[in-house]
Amino acid sequence: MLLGTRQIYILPTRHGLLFTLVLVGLALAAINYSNALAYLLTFLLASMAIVSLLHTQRNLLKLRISVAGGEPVFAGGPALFRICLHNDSAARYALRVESAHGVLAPFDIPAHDTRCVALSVPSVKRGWLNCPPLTLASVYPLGITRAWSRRLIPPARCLVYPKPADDAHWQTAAGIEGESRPGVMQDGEDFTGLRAYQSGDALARISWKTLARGQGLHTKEFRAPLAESVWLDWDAFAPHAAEARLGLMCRAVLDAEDSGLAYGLRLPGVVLETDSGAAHRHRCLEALALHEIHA
Amino acid sequence: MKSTPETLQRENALAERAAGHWLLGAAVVVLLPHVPRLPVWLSAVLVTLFAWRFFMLLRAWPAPNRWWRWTLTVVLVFLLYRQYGTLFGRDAGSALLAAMLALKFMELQRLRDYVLSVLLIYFLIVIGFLYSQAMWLVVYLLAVFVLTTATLIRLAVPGTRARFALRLAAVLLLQALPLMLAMHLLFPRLQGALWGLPQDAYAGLAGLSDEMRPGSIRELSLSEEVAFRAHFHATLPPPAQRYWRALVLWTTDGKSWTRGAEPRASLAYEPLDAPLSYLLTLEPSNKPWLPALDLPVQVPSGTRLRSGFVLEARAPVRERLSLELSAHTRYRMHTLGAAERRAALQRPEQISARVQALAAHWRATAGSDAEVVRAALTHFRAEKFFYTLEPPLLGDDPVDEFLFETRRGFCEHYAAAFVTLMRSTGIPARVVTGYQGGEYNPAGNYLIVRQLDAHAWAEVWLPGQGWARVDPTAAIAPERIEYGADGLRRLLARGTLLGGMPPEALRAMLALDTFERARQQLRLSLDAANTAWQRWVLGYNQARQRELLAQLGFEDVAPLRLVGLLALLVALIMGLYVIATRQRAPRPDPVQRAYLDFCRKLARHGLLRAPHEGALDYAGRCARHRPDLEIPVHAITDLYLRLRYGSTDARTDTQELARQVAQFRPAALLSDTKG
Repeated sequence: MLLGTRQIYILPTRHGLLFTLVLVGLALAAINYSNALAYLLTFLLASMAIVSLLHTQRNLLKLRISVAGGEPVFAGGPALFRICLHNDSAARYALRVESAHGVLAPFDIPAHDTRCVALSVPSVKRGWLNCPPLTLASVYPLGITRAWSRRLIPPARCLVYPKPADDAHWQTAAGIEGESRPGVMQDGEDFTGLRAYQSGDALARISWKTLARGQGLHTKEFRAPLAESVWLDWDAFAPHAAEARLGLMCRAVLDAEDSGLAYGLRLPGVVLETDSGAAHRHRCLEALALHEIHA
Repeated sequence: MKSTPETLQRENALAERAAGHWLLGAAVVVLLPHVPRLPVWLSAVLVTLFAWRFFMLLRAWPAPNRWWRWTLTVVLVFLLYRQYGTLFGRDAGSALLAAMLALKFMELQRLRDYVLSVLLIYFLIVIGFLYSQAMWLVVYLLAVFVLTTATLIRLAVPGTRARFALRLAAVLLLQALPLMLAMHLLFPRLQGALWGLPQDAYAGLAGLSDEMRPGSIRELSLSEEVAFRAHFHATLPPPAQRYWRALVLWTTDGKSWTRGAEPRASLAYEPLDAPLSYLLTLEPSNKPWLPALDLPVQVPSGTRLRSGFVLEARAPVRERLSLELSAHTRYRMHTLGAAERRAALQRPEQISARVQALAAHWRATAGSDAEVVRAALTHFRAEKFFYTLEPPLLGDDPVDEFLFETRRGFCEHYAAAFVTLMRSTGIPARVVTGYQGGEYNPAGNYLIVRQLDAHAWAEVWLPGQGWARVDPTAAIAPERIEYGADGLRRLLARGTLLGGMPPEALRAMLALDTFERARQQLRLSLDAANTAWQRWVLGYNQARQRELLAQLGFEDVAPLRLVGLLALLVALIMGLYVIATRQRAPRPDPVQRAYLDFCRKLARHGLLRAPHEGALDYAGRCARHRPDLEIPVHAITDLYLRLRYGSTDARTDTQELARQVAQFRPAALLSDTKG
């Protein structure tokens, strides 16, 4: 986005109105005493105010603005937008980036240079968070005139992952205590065998595969250490509402990644094969974030 | 935004760090020239408050609490009212502003308080000009102005360096000058005050009095103050013609001379030369008389011609006044009216026998009036008369005492004695006072006439010639006329006895050494600058504005149209500024150009560089997507980065970069063509 003359407005600030009042007072004194130098100084002040309008406008003119969404965040956390101002000519001073989320500290840009600032926007819900409308403003050089840009709506967005379920939810959702996790099916070489399900067995140890094959409820038994590969399945969280389910699955992804497990994700229409690492974690969380969001 | 105590504190800390010291400094320097005029107690209060503020900045002293501040404010305003009897006008107003500024320093909290203080300082700068318009003050206050503006800049742009703020203030000032000039020339000037002017505005002005007593002109002879300046459009009159007539004194009581009951005199004359035109610029004297060369040809508006061909303003000259005049220095008059003759022969009741005898002797021996005049001048020259700046005091009959006892006198003694003698011989005569001579300033082609050039001489009526100037002082001390009052004074100060020295010796004594000459030149150049300043800046008023507009072809412009014209001119100047400073998209340098070419080539293959993407990140991304291009992409990027940020032989490497980019032709992949 390039700021042209049509995108910039200028008006006196409150200090500018005060300044005008003083000018009127000075003019009255000059007229009353018909004092040439008092006239001259009054004219000089007025001229300086007029000239400063140009400086104020030029401080914003022809600035290029680019905004990039920052790293994905979990809902509720601050989403960062990186706002870069590219200056193709003389230095700019005391630029202020204003948005509905407050005003950033004023900063300068040297000639032919670029400065980037981070705007932090609180995220509320998962999905895409669009960069809020921005206004670029400056009261340079005298503080008596303010130039500001038209509301800029940058085409930048930031991905917001679902908020991971907190411990309390996590445990209630599981309905059980201990290390086990709901909907987590462990699957590895350390698997020792199946036994008949007894009430009280961890949900995580139910052999879903045998159940799916119609062979009845079985509980898997493992030899320590635990298996290294799990599947996170949308249907396994069935008793919970959709958003809560996504929160639980998000938590499951994080925990699986933290425990060094390989994990796969099964969502309606999306299947991510078991894997691990930051990129996989991101793919999983992105899938969760954008579940049933079309954009 | 809500102003919680924390945000207030932060705002104050920010403003104080940016401009706290600057504001205090600007306040101190702007008030320095005011201090001698302020009451002593107020100066003491100001010093105390400023010192307190200084320690608030330096040692984090606390500000006095609100109760103290209010009490102090009320007490100060009350004391100021007692001192001046008012809170308005120049004197009380400036004292009040100074006190307000110092009090404001005790409660600086918000950015607005700081800005308000800056505006108060601007006000005090302007008030300084209401007291004096001397050039040094202008330079000083202009420096204060720049400092104050820099303070405002530091408040608006926190964190600017001192040099930057000062330079920006100076730049703004310089850019404002053309606009200021336009406003100066075109802003409608009003005549007269909106409210009362100070009563004492005109006290202490020096000038000729309309009464001449022995010693009255001598009082002026020590004052180097400028009485007026005369710019000649063509040639200057020779020194012997530089008699500036201000007053014609007809009536005497034996001791003093006054205009008395002026006779209605004929104003008819026959000019004998072409008129000499000049611009006369008078300094304020609080007197109406206008010293002009001999016979003024025209009578400018606002002035009138009095009996004896002297010009007088209709009101005392209280502001610098410029008049276009012209004069005939050679002329003839034919008739002397009865009333004029009577007035020109009036004598005091008592004239001593010695004086009458002397007059009778001349009358008896001379054949004509002109010969009587010559005899009188010969008498002054032949007898032991002296010209001195310290004449002895004279008693009840000064003319007799001077002529026969003391014989030492100043121009007024000689003029009075001469005219008394002439009237005793029956020749109509009158005393003329004014100025004689003047210092030529080659820097501006004008004469500077000072109060010390004040002079008195005589005029006698000679049949067939009319009123003719006779300067008896010139007979005793021709040096007075030749070297001017100042030269004469310097000669007398060295103890030279006039009359006995050959002219070469006198000239040698008056010659200036190198240092003195340099000083004189500097003084004259300064005076020329000052005069131009007076003429175009200080003396610019409604009349001059009308004159200027008429010269530009605008006759009788209504104030409102003048404002329109001014707005047009301001818009024009601003338009010129916009054009002059328009930001052209800078032409990229060869290195940048080559790199942008490279980026364009990659973009054609779907690898568009994001605006925020650095060169290295971009190269990495390209290499990941197009492993086949990894080698050239990295080579070009490395070269580019080295040219940009490294130290390298710029010319050959730039050519190398251009060559590599030119050869960089990424092959189209199948997926590219599909996508």
